[in-house]
Amino acid sequence: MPPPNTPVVLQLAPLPRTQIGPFLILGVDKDASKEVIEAAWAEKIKQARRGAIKTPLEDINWAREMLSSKESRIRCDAVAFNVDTTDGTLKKLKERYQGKTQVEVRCKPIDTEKWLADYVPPTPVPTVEEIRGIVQIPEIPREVPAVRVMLEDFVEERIDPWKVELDA
Amino acid sequence: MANVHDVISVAPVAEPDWAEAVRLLEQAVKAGNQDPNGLYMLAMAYKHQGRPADARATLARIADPDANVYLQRGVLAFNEREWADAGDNFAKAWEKDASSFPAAYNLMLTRLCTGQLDQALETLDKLVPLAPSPAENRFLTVLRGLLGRPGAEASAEQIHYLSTITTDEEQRLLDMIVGLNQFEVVYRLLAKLVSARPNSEPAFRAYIGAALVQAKNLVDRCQWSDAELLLSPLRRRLESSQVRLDAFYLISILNMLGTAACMSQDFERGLVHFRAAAEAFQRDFNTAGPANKADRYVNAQGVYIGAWLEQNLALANEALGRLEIAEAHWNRYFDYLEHYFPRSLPPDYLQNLAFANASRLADLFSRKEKWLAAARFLERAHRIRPTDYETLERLFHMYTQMKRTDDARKVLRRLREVRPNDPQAELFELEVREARKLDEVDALLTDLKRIAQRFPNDTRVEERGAAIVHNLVPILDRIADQYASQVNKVVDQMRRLPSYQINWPTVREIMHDMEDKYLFLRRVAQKCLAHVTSDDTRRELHRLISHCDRKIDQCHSLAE
Repeated sequence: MPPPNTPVVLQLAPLPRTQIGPFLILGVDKDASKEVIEAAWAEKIKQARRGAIKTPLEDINWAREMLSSKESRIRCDAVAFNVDTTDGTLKKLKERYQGKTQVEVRCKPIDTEKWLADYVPPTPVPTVEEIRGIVQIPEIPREVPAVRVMLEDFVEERIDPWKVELDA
Repeated sequence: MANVHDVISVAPVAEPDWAEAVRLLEQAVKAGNQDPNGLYMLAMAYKHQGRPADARATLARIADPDANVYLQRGVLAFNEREWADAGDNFAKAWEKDASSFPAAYNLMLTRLCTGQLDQALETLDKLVPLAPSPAENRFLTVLRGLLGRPGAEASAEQIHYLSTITTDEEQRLLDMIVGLNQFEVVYRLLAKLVSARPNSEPAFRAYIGAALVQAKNLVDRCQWSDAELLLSPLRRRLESSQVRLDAFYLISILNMLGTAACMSQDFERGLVHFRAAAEAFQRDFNTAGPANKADRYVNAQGVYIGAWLEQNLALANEALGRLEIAEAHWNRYFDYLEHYFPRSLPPDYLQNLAFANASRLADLFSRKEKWLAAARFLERAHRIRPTDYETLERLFHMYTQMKRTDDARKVLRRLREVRPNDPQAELFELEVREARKLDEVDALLTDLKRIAQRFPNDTRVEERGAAIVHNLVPILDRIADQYASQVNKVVDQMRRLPSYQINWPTVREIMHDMEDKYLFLRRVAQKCLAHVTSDDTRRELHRLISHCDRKIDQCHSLAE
């Protein structure tokens, strides 16, 4: 039993989801695209499952459903409080401070690369003489049938005396 | 001040062909070149080609990484926001090369990004002597001054630097702080910078901006009390500061405060904030500005900021049950919306929004029996969509309810134009017709029968006919009462007077007349029975018919 003169703390019942509205539940702007809504919904579901937010899962799903049809979205728009300004002050700030490219653009680490313009691969390359020395030309045996065919072709070919090119 | 990237320069390559580089280097690696520098070059080519995953995988293949390989691994991890991996690699890079300023700087930056302020400060202490230029040294000293532990005395040098930094230095500092990704760190650093440079507009703007972003995150997570706790002192600071920021910053703060208060069910406090937001906008509106100043007052969908502010005020008043005040705000909201109809995007967005809201408000005010206001909202909805049958129908009923017969007739004409062959419109006509006398009721029933014959088996006609008849029963009861009182009056007089004083011919004439009237009433009641669907109404009518029968007998006997 609490001691006398202790003030009684009354806890208000949470506002119904219809009064909070789907835009505030999902944390999206009134002009948010379908992709943004889906992404916000997925994120909220994750947060709710982790217990990071108090919003019930069914309210998050309800909010997504409300914003999925044009008619219900307009009806919700009519009763939703406006947090941002018409020029999207908060949206721009969020993009500036937490946008995708924010780290790359604003808080860059120093990126220095090694100077390797003079790099030569450490693979040994043999000289032409060394290669010639290595290559062994095989002796062609006389009995190879190709030799006979080649000689026959050479003999059968007609010689045009005007086109004979003599070595200088 | 020279940028650190200018000091630690990387020789530019004239239009590098990274795709070709990747192709050749991949061939080399495939052919068996496992040289660390070959793999490093391939990784860098991947990085420049925008393939960080491949770059990281290739760097991971280097067997004995040197300081720069670790640095690159760290940079790639940092860009992917994998802070732990980045910090680990930068630390290893620094370990391999204790004189590496980039490794130490990046390690400090990573620690800032992860909110490890003490470790960042520790790194910064070792980093300052490594600074490649006096300008960099000065910048890092300023940063160290900002990072100093809360309550710790800043050195005279740090204070001097903080108060004398150039615009470029301040911008670089702000860029770095704002990009840190840790609200607590960003906010603390900016707060310190603002107190060191109270007249700096960029610093103050960055400070307020960071707080606004955090507040928006809290609002997005429905953490209303936390958002209020953050924003309330911020509002005071913004209003008391000598630095004048964009009015929309204040309006955003007030809008968020108002919304947070309303969501915490303190609508009264919400109203105070929303009113202040409207006043802030009014001040901004009245201040001279560039020619295109008004452009920002209308969003991409064509909604004017005044409409949004009025909507907030109206909703808060509505929640408090102050419907008269809410109505005034809603009217201004609609006026703004209607003014910007031509700028609506999509073209029907503003019309749909105004129509949906006007219809909703008509319902709300009807439920609260504020008929006049409800009718005004319906009229507005009708102006927005003149051919919407449902709105016309509701408007007709509203006028009928309010006994505005002429207006109801006008709406009825419009209903007939919109749907020429709709039995509903015919039935509505019967509803506006005044039926006080019995012959008027009879004529009405005749017309009802005609409509029912014209649209047989139409449930709408049957239902509406039943409703009309239901409304006629009290009229018939009233007429029956009148007749009864007339008969009773004669009977009373007859009882009081001696027989010789009674004018029997007149009595007979009256009773004869009354008998006819009762017969007519009975016929009309019988006609009604044909349209009745409810048992209660049928019972009522049978009771009336029995009453008529008794009276007819009485009148008949007295008339003889």
